[in-house]
Parts: sequence; structure tokens; C-alpha cells
Amino acid sequence: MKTHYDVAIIGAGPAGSIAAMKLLKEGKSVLVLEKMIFPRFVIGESMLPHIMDYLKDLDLLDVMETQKYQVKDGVSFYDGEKKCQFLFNNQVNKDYWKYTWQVKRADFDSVLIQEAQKRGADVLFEAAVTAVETTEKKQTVHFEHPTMGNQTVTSDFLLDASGYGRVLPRLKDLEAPSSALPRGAVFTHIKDINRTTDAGKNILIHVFRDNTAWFWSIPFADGSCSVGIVSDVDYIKDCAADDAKEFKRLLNELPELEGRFSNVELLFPPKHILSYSISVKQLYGEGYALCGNATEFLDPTFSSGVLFAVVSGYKAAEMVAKQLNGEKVDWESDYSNYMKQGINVFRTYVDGWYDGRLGTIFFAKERNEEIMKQICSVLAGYVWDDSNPFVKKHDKVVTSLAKVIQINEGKQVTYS
Amino acid sequence: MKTDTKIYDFVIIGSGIGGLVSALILAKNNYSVCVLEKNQQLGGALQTFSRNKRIFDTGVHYIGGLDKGENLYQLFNYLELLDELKLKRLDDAYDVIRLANGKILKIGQGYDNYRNLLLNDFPEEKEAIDQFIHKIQETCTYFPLYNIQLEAEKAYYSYPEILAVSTAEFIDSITSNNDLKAAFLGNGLLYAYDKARTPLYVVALILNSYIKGSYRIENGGSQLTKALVKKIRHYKGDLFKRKEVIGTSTAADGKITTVKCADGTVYSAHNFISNLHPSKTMEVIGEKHFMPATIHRVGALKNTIASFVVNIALKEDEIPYSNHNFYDFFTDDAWNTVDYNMESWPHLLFSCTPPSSKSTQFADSFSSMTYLKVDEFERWKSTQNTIVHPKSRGDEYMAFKEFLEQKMVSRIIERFPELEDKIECVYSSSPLTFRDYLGNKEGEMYGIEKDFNNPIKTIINPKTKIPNLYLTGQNIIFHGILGATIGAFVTSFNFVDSNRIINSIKSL
Repeated sequence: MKTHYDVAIIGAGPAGSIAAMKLLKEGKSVLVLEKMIFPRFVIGESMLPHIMDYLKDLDLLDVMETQKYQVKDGVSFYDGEKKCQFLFNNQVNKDYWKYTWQVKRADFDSVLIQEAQKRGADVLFEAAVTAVETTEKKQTVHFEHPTMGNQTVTSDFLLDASGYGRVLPRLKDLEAPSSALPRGAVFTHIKDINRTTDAGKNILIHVFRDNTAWFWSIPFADGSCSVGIVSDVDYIKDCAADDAKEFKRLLNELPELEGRFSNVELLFPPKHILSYSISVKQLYGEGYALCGNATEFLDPTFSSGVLFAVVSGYKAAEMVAKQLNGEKVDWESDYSNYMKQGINVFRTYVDGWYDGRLGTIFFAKERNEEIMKQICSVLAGYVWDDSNPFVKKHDKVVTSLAKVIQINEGKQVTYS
Repeated sequence: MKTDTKIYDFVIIGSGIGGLVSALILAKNNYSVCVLEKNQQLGGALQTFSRNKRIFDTGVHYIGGLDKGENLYQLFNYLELLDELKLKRLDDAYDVIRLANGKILKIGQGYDNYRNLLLNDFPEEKEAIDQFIHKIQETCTYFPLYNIQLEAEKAYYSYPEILAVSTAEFIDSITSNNDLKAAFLGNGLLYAYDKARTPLYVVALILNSYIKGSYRIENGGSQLTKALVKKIRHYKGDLFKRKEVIGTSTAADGKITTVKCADGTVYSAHNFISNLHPSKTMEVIGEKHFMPATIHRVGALKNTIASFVVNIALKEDEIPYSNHNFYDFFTDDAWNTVDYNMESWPHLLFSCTPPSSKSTQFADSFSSMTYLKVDEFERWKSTQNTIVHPKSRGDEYMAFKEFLEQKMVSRIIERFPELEDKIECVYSSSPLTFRDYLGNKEGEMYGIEKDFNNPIKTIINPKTKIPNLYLTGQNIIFHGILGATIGAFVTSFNFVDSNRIINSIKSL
């Protein structure tokens, strides 16, 4: 470890490692401080095709291809008998990526940070940041390390990619409540012995409990599968109680799953997290910026977590490099607003998912192919493409389309 | 009720090597410390006991890393222990491994000796031997504190992949010679090696330390306790025996204010360090102070296997003292020792003749140790028996212990026929004996088992959720005298400047 770096990054997840690699590409020296030791388990295992654009830009595709991750070329939503499948080869722009991967994050995140190390990043695991002093030009980071003891390092800029760790939001009192309802998730990995070729490929989402809960299955290349339920905090607590008795029962008995997960071996005892939607007052300040889940963690319905981590890590690094090169940068418009735009598009879809607008669209009796293409590109992560009406006027378009479908199907219009 | 009104900077629960070294480091750095020990004797696994006027060690039979300038030497030097200890360097061939097929292999100290002795036995395996040595040495560079540094070019905390390397997989990749594998793993009893779990770094750190200077402590491990206690007292530290901590009081901010002992005494401090197993720590401090998930997670961690030890008092001036140790295998597969079956138990014996103060030529005692699962004692798990709380475990227990003792002795005689008519009497220690005296969880030899499949799971941070409670001992970094000593430094780094301490160790 040197005593000073151009940029210190807190957190070695995808936001941190992508930021590190972008900064290295721009010729900056980088230190990554990570509280855990990798590999470590984390959820957020299904990615979106738009991520591939960033991996390609950073010359990461070859490294990732050698990992032989499960290819994901679509997503399917189920409501009872009704099914809605989006395939990424059917989008508004033929240049958009047609696939991505489903990854065990323990592996994926390790590969990324190891690649950053190979490219010259200094990385310290088990380094818990305890205090920071930020100024315009010089940032001081104090951290505790179990074998190095208490240490201090300085940098020209500080990037917080600490995710759930929320280091700067806590230390700088930047935390803000999220507008989303508090939800939770209970999940595990299983031996996916009953998978069919089709079901063994993409993420499947099953709505149940009157649209207040949904079940995910994310198959991996090694024959295991991530399974979990997202719902309101109380229901998740019920599912997780008593060694996740209810969750295990649902795995066995939920009719929508048609027995695929009955009597399968659990690869670890189910875990749960509660109330994960959180926000911050500001995404940047003098000498620092937040990226990844440290900014805002949105509901996982549309697998947007890693996308925002990658995009924000990349964008923030790009801004930092320019700033350190003496260029003038506008963090408000070029970073904060940019990220918020993408997050807000997905927020509409998350809200629409829970209030039923999206279900009405997804499970309509007749679906317009062009509209489905446009939605597919949103679900592929292309949420900054203003030529797509489902991006540009996301809220209005989703609401009005849902209303039209309800009228056409002779139902009472319920969306205001 | 007697209450000590002094408020210490630190109260340390447990006087094993981790607790004592922590106390000494902190006392040496001007903190007031107080060590509380539940037993009659200080020292944890350094305790000795005497029978028939012989001194027997409970846990420590030889120590590595003690050649001048090596890691433990440097740490003991900083702790001012070197002048206090009478150490006896073992033979150049410090371990002798005797395989089931009759082959005798010698393990040397000093890398030249180590390599040459292996080449003698396996001239055709030069490449594998060199690869093994290279890998062991390279692996050790990943652990800066082990090399008395805070940082390394490639430290495990930057390249944690090193924690996930399987010993079995690596050894299988360099040789298919089973005898050579046994030579590499021969002194595996120093860590209870398990094919399915033991990471290569564990083997590397242990083996390297013994290659860098293997010594016996004359008159047993309690010499080290005495030296530590003397220095702690020199720095005005207090140590109290027969003080079993049974509870705590906490303030509104969640900090512990006092610990309460079984005899009603109470000790106050600003900070508390527990030398106990993390699960025992939570039990003693009060489980209500910890998250149920934490209690469950730590409780579910696998501990290393327990041991059964036979100590033999020998007739005087009959058996020569051996200045090396013996590892006797009764199975063809060197890995097949932890998972024994009772019919053929024991599969492996560690044996040595402790040095006697009466004679340098002859041994007055003989110690032999093997693995034994604590589950064999399931029926007696609820019994307690120590000098402070003497209570018989019953006749059936004694009979079972005697049965094991006889099995052990017949194995010993198989390999040491010269002992047959020189035995005066035999004493044995079961996993429960160790559990009750050492206050560990289930008589485990080396604490929570390291696992290359999931390295992160077994990493225990010395900091706890209680703001002024810290852990030390074999579970936080590494086991053994060296491991627990380094662990004590790590615990102390929460209070003393690590850069300053490391610099002052290196400048000595």
C-alpha cells in the first residue's frame, strides 16, 4: 500500500471494481478498501444486457466468457397460468446486446476485482473504513484492519462503492428514506435437479399472494439455482421464521412452481434481508462521490442492481478522471441527474409491478409486438435511450397503456 | 461480597497464551491489566501437571519459529521472554515419521536439512520436493504478520485466493507417491489435517515455523507461563486464579462495565478481552447481548477434532531421552487419521519424551497423543471435573478411558517395544479433560477448523458487536503458540499503534 493514491474506492463489488478499472484505463492510481474477504456471498445474480456494453468498453468480455457463466437471453413473468416472456433478441435497436449472464456473485465479483488487481489496482480486503475527512483536493481515509491495525491513507478523490455498507452515507449523514415501501427477501441456492432446458436458462418470476409477493428462480451454469421470494417485510419475516419453514414449504408446494423445487437439496440454509430500499440525500460532494448501491438500492424485480452498480461506477470514474485532469465537470447534470434518470425509469416499472399496471400490460390478452419490444429494451437495461417512449415518458406511457388494455378487456379502469 | 474497586484498562478473561500475551503487550504499553483464570493454574494449554514426581505437559510439546531472528523468536524478544526460558533445540531431524509399511522418514529443520533428508528418502522425487518447498515458502510470504511485517508484496488480504487452496489437491498435483505425501503431511497432528477441508496455507505456516527452529521448553510449557506472568507482574499487571467469570453488567451504551466471578467478586474495566472460544465467550458474557444469528453462526462452525493423550511415568534411568518426536502411522493413507474407526483406532500416534530436569540422558516420562472424537464421550458430556470443581464422571467413564488407554499403550509398545517393562504407571486425558481445563467447546485441539472451501466463514474478527469486548486466542488468527501469540498482537492492535509495535520489534 502506498500512502497516497489518485483515487481511493470503498468497496470491491462491481461498482468499485468497474470504477477502478475505468480509472486505471485513464491512468490513475487506485486503492480499493473492502471490508469483507472475497469470495463472499451476495444476492443480485441476474444481470441485464446493457452491462455488456460496459464490460466490452473495459475489455472484460474475454475474461468473463472464460468463466462459462449461464447465458441469459430473456426473462419470463408468470401470473398463475399466464405467461409473458421477453427475449432480448427482440428489441428496439438491433445493436443492443441480446444476452448477458446469470452469475453467482461470489465468483463474478471476485473475477472482476482480481482483474482490477491485475491491471494495477491495490486492493485491501478486511479493511473497515472508520472515518473520512473530505476536502476539495485531499481526502483522508482511516480504516481498521484485523492484522494491519489502524491505518490511514490519503487520496485526491474518494469514491464510495460500499453498497449495503453505506460507509459515506453513514459517516457523512447522507442517508434518506426511500420512497419505496419497505420490502424484504428470503432466498437460498438449491440443486436444480428438475430443470428443463427452457426453465434451466433464464430467470423466471412468478407472482403470487394477490400480487403482493413474487418468486424468483435464477439458474446457474453449474446446475444449481438461486431461488427466493420478495414481499413486504412482515410476510418475509413469516417466511424466514423457524429456520425458514414457510419458505421451504412454498418451495415444495407453491402451485405455480409445478414441483420443480419440491424436495430439492438446499445448498445453504435460507437467508433473508429486510427493508433494503434505501436512498441518499446527495450522490456527490466536495472530493467524493457515491456509486453502486451506496446511492440507492431499488427493488430487485427487474435485476437492475448490477446494472446501476456498473453504470454508476463507470460514470463516476469517468467524471473523477476528468476532474483530476483539470477539466471542468458538472456532477449535478452529468452524474447525479444521469443516474437518477435511469433509476427513475426502473422505479416506474417497480411501482407499476406492485400496483398492477405492469401485470395488466404483461399479461394482456393481446400484446402489441412493437410495444413489447420497447419494454424489452427497458428490461434489458437501456434506460437512457430517449428514443424509446417507454424510457422517455415512462410513467405516463405505462399508466395509459395499462388503462387502454383494461378498457379493451372490458375491465373497470383502476389506475389513476 | 468482596469487590475490587479498581477500574482496570483491561480485564482479560482466560490465561491461555493468547490472554497472557495480550496482557503483556498492553501492560508493556502502559495499560493497567487484570487477567482472570478459572483454574487453579494459569496458562491454558500451557498447563502442566505432575504425577509420580514427573511433570507432564497438557498441550505444548514442541515449538517452532524459535531460531534466532525467526518469527516467534522476534516476538518473544519484544515480550522480553527469551532470557527467562530454558529452550532445548531438537535434533536436525526433529520429527521421525514411521509409516505402516515400515518406512522411516526424517523431517529436518533448516530448509537444507529438510530438503536433503527428503531427497535421501525419495531421490527420484526431487522435482516434487522442490515444488513443495517452493510452494510452502511462497505461501508464507502472503502472511505479513507471520513475517513480522504489516504489509507484503502479495498479502493474503489483497490476494485471498491463497486461503482457498486445498492441501490435498496441491500435493496430488505434484506427486503420486503415497510415502512422499505422508512425509509432507507426516506431522499433520500439529493441525488435525483433513483432506476435505485443510487449506494449504495452514500446512505452510505450521511446517515452515517448525523448519525454522523447533525447540522444547525444558520442564514443560508452564515455564512459558511463568515467564509471561513474571513480565506481566513486572509491568504492574494483576493475575487472579480461581476466578471463573459467569456474567457481566452492561451500561446503557451497550458497553460492559464489570464482570462477575463465580465466587461473587466483581472486576471493572474500560475494555474486556476474552481468551475463550467465541461460543464460550458469548455464553459467559450473556447470550442476550448477541444477535441470535451470530450465536447460531458461530455455534455451527466446525471445531477441529479432540485428542486423547496418554502420559507414562517411566522407570528411572532406563529409557534414553529422544531429542526428536515420533509420528507413527497405522494406516497406509496419511489422510486417513481424523476419520478413524474405533476397531483400528488409533491410526496415528504422536510421541515424545519430555525433557527431564533430573537427567539429560534419560527420559523419566513418555507422552503419546492421538485424535479422538468428543462424540465418543457423548454420555458423559454433562459431567465436569477439574481441581477447582472435582467431581467423578463415574465408573463407566473410567472403564471406557481405561479401555482407550490400553489400546493406546498396545500401539505404543508395537512401535516402542523397549518401553514394555519400563512403565511405572499410565495416566490419560480425554477430550472432556481438555474441555474442562482449557474451557474450550468440546476438547478440540486447535479451535475452529479452517476450511479452504469457505475461508471467509472461519475468519473471526477480534472486534465484537459489544463496543468494548474483544477476542483473542487460537480462534481469531491461528492456533499454536505462534498463532495465538500473533493473535494477541492483532487483538492489541486495536489499542496500540501497529506501525510502532512492528517497528520496535524489528529494531530489536
